[in-house]
Amino acid sequence: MSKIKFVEANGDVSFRELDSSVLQDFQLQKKLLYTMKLARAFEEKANELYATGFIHGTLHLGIGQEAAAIGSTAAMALEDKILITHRGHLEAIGKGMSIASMFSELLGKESGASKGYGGSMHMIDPTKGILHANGIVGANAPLSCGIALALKKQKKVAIATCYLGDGAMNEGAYSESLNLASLWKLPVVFATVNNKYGMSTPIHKSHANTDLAQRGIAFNLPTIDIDGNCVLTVCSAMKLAREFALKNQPVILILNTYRISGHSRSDKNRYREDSEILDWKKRCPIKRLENSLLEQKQINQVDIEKIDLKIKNEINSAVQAAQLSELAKEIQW
Amino acid sequence: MVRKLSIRLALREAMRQEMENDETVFIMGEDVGVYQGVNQVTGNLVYEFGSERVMDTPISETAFLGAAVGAAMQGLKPIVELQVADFISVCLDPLLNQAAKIRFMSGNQINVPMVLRAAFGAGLGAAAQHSQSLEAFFCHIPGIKVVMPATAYDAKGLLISSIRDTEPIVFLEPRALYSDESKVPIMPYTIPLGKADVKRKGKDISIITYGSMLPVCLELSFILEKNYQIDCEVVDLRSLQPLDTDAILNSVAKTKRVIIVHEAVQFAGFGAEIAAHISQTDLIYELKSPIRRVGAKFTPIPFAKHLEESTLPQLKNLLTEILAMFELT
Repeated sequence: MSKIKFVEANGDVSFRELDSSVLQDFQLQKKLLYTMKLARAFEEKANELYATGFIHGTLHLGIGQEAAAIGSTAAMALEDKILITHRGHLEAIGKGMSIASMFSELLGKESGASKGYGGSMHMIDPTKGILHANGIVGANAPLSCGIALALKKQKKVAIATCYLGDGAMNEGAYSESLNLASLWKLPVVFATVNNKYGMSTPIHKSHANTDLAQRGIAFNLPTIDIDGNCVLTVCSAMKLAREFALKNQPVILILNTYRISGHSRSDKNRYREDSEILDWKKRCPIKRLENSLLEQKQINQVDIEKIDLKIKNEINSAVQAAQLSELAKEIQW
Repeated sequence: MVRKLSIRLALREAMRQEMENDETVFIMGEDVGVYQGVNQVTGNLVYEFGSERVMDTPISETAFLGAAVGAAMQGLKPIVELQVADFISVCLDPLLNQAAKIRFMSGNQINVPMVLRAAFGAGLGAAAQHSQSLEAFFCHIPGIKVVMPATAYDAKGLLISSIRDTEPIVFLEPRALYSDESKVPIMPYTIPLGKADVKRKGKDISIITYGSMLPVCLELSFILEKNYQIDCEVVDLRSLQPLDTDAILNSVAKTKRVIIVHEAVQFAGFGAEIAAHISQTDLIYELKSPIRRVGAKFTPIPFAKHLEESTLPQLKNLLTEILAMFELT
């Protein structure tokens, strides 16, 4: 179990233990396992539907990044707002979005989350606090400042979490937003999913300083830098980040993980070695939690089979419902 | 009660009354607080409402325009001031890809009730990066409305309507006309967006215009009537998106002659859109003279006064154009 690396705004580094309430709450852990498995199954099914010609457009899958998404959203309240990215299926599921409405959206149906106007990149559900799913890299950052500003003005006990990737850190919007959030003391967490690549470009070819946790120092912001493949670490770290944000102290949360799937449908994996992918497959966040629960005798093989079967049924019935529903109608704007 | 107010004060009054009326309305922008706004539009509002509702921002347009979009998504009604419309170049994404798209991408679930106020236009020696008229550019983005008042009366009513609207609005203020005065009621009132106003009734020619060229067109009408007995109808569009095509077509149906005048560069300007609307109807067969349009030369705005003037549409050029339409030259 990894610790939580905490980098103060002045650069001082300390390591914190994981949240004991997360470590001791096996109900929570079983729920995390279920949701991660559901998210993985959703993406695998979406990929299959795409490959067999049922889905129009493209898909950006986050296979391998489930812990970063599910662990962080699990530490939030329904009232908390999130802005996710073009690779946002996992966070959307973590925040409680219905997979039936997501499959319907992918299939261009009237019952889709955005009635066919959004698609894979734009899974939005304000009833679950998913206010945006952005296809423009870095663009979530300024918006999240505004959502946080509104929450603060409205005196809500809620935060905004801005998801973005390591690639987004080099956008001007990111730096401008870190400055504004810090200056205005906004209740926002910048959840930076570091999957090591901006499309095909590895981090050492895109970041002049590859120690991502140092970026916040320039903006007087604390940073939490963690193993994003350990869902319990992620959940604990997000709880910590949320506590800061609720006190109007914005935080950068760096979730170090790896995208096993390609960038999108166009990806031919020309930029990384198979051995690297294989190595990360061995560090699968879902298997990791499953093994931990097995070791602690919280579940057994029969339980796992039951979970897998339940998920299979849930996915199949959601796809079936989506396929049966009518095509999205044109909206008269 | 009605009294004379400048466009600047009419805009300030609109913001004040809406802020009194609705606590979710707030202002953000560069130097809108104690500096009172680079164009002195926000004025003393910071003292009336405090710095929480009249928020000075860093020079960080992407961050604060994006923050306004986010705040609007979360139920507030921000009024953002860009000192000049030219600065949209450094913060286009929050407008183009975010504000304009969110309602659509969310399947009509999330609105962005935001007003982006920006001064536009030349004539003040501000040179190439502080003088542009970019309305055609904004009009090419589905999902936003584009409002352009030219009088104090319209400025107040249109700004109140814009603040109350649920869609993102680009509200372009003619910088050279901020001090122009007209009669403005003291009580709050609205003017529907997408409704043109005939500023001068006439029967011989329709002058279709908006924004900074309105006073020039009215002066031109006066000269044409006095010296040439040509009776001009001046149609002020007031908002370009939505566009009051009925008002344009009704006027042209009456006069059978039309000239379109704007300060923006003529090439690919909004005038082309208006000309196309007219020419796509049977009115095209009834016109006594081909449609004309006049805009600025296709060049960045120069600094020197004489060069700046010669780049923009001039009253004398407009006169020549119109006289040619009556075969009087």
